[in-house]
Amino acid sequence: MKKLRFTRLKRVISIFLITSLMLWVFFPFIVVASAGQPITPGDPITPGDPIKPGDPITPGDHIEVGEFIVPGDVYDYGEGIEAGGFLERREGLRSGEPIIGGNAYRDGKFLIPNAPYQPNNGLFISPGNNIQPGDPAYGNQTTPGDPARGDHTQTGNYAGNGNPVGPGEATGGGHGVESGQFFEGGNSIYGETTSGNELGSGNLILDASLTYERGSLNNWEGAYQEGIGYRNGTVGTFLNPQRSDRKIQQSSWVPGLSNTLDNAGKVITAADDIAQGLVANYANFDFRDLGNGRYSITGKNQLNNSVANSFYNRYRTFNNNGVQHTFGPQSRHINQETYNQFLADKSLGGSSNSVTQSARNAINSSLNIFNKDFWRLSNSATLGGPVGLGLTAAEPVYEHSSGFQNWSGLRTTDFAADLTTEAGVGVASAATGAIAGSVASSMFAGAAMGSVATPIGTIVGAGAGLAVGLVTTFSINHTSAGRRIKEGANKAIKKGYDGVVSAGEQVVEGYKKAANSAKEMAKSGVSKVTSFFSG
Amino acid sequence: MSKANLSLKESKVIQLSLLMYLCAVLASAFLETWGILILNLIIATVCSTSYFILWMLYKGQRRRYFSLASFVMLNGFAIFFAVPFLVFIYGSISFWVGVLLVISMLLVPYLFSEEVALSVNKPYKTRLGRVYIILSSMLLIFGSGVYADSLYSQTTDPLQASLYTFLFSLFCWFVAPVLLIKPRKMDEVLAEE
Repeated sequence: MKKLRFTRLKRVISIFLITSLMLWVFFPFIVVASAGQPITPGDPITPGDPIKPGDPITPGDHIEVGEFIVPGDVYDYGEGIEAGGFLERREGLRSGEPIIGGNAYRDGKFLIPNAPYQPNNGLFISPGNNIQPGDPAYGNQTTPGDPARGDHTQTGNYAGNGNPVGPGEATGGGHGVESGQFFEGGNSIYGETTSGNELGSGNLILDASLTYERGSLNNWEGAYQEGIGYRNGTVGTFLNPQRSDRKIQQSSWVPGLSNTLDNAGKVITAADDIAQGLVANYANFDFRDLGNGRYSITGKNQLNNSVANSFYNRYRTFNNNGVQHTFGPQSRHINQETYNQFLADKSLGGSSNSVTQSARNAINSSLNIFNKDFWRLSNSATLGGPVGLGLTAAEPVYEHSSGFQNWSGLRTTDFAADLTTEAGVGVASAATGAIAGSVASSMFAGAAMGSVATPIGTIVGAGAGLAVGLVTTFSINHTSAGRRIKEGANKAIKKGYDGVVSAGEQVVEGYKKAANSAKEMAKSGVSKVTSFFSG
Repeated sequence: MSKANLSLKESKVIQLSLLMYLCAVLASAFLETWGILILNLIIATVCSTSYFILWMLYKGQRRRYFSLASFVMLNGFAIFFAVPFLVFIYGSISFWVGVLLVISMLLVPYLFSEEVALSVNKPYKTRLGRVYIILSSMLLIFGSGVYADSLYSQTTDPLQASLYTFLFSLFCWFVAPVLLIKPRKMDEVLAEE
């Protein structure tokens, strides 16, 4: 191969490529600048001819007096214009957005009209013969049975007069009521069956009603099955749609809800870890080495803010060999084993400034795009990722607190549902972005262009991840189909929360409950998909 | 070069194909245009078929396979992500500037792929490399800003997102020709300086 020499040509090439790269920077400015038409200087204005004075104005003829104008009818006042509704912030005006012609929505299916009901197979019911009265029922008279006989209840002894009841001795009771003989009933009523004349062609009616009754006597499911089995089919077709509708109503939102809750649980976990670490840091929570292999806890015992306090308490709770253990306010003389267990449960390295470290780790892997962990699939699946609850939560919090003024709105299931949906959008975009980033950079790793790892793979991976994440977010937030999906999810989630949160229960508790149950669910869809792409 | 043949699982053909379809759908859902969805799906299908053919041909040459598959991937990405911006600005002067940029980014780096290869592999040793590393960092910072904005507010202008994806496309086209260099030649390029 020819050696690449640093020739003049090479210098020109470098300059050319640098220029084309620089165009990337200037291009946005060109776009902005070209949006408005530039004003080009025209020709200078040449002075025209001086205005010549015209002829003097001669007075015209007198104006003849015309007829009086008869005043017309008074106009009726119209109705006042009603004030329109306020623009919602969500659909706020956006200036400068180009209008792109939409296409007709073609997602739907043709509505197939129902066929008119036509009973098939049915026979015309012809009137049968009149039912002839049968013989009256004859029966033997009921013979009276023996009267009930039983012994009288024997009276027990009276309790001792005034003495306290001796310890241990039971009060001697009387004998229990001995049961008398059972009431003997008389003979059962025997009657002859009604022997009416047989129905003629009316038998069909009898058959139909019997089948239906048999079904309805069983449970509903049975009735449904019987209905289907009915040879005429009309009962079955009538019951069938009702039954299936009922099933759809019950089950349609359940899987969607559980998936979303699962994702929401993950978001909450990530944000929860950060919040716990920050609060504990604020409270100066730390371990003090007592020197004899034991530790005591320093820091505030309790925080004034109840919400912060709950985070603080949960930070102090850890899993000790399967048992939840909490460091109380006055924990002293903690042994080495418990100390290690706490650090292991909180994923801390045992450094002296452990709390700060844990908060820093959580924030680093969740929000810092220059951190390697940020782009890891496992991280995105548990929703650190770029979501950062702060970002996705901002809008719902703003809306439900009347612009950060009235915080009572945050205790509603509306807010909880909104927050979950927004977090879900974040989860979706982070997951798709992470998939793209991971696959793209792993392809470059396989190519391994040089002997050392190249930075191109990382940059292409990060760039692709961002691009895919972006279009995912915009596809949901800025398209009509995306918004419909989002609204549907929102409604379903709210329904779910309303179901979980009982009337007297605080929403926050219910929300926590929902998130916990979601956390305990088996592997979520997101983690399954991402593990497939990472394999 | 690997001794053992590359298995289908190792080659990531399936994951890569699914990713292409995912991007195809997302990039067109973003625009809500059926015509572009069909176009994107055709491109994704062509890419997926190419991955499989490449794997059949180069399963014995690991580096060559990954290089060529990455080349196809980058071109696919570039087309998917450049289209939305061009659609948005269609009808203005900047559209033609955009087309000019696309054409120059498609052609020029092919002529100087070895220079680009040296620069992107050892960015701190060449002038072009330094510019490359600074611009790519700026690109990522800009993208992160738009992304954070899109998560924070629901009224972000889609033009912002499309501008980022367009710049990313240009970046893909800039890097793509490097991947066509054969591994042995690449080693030689990197050995010199």
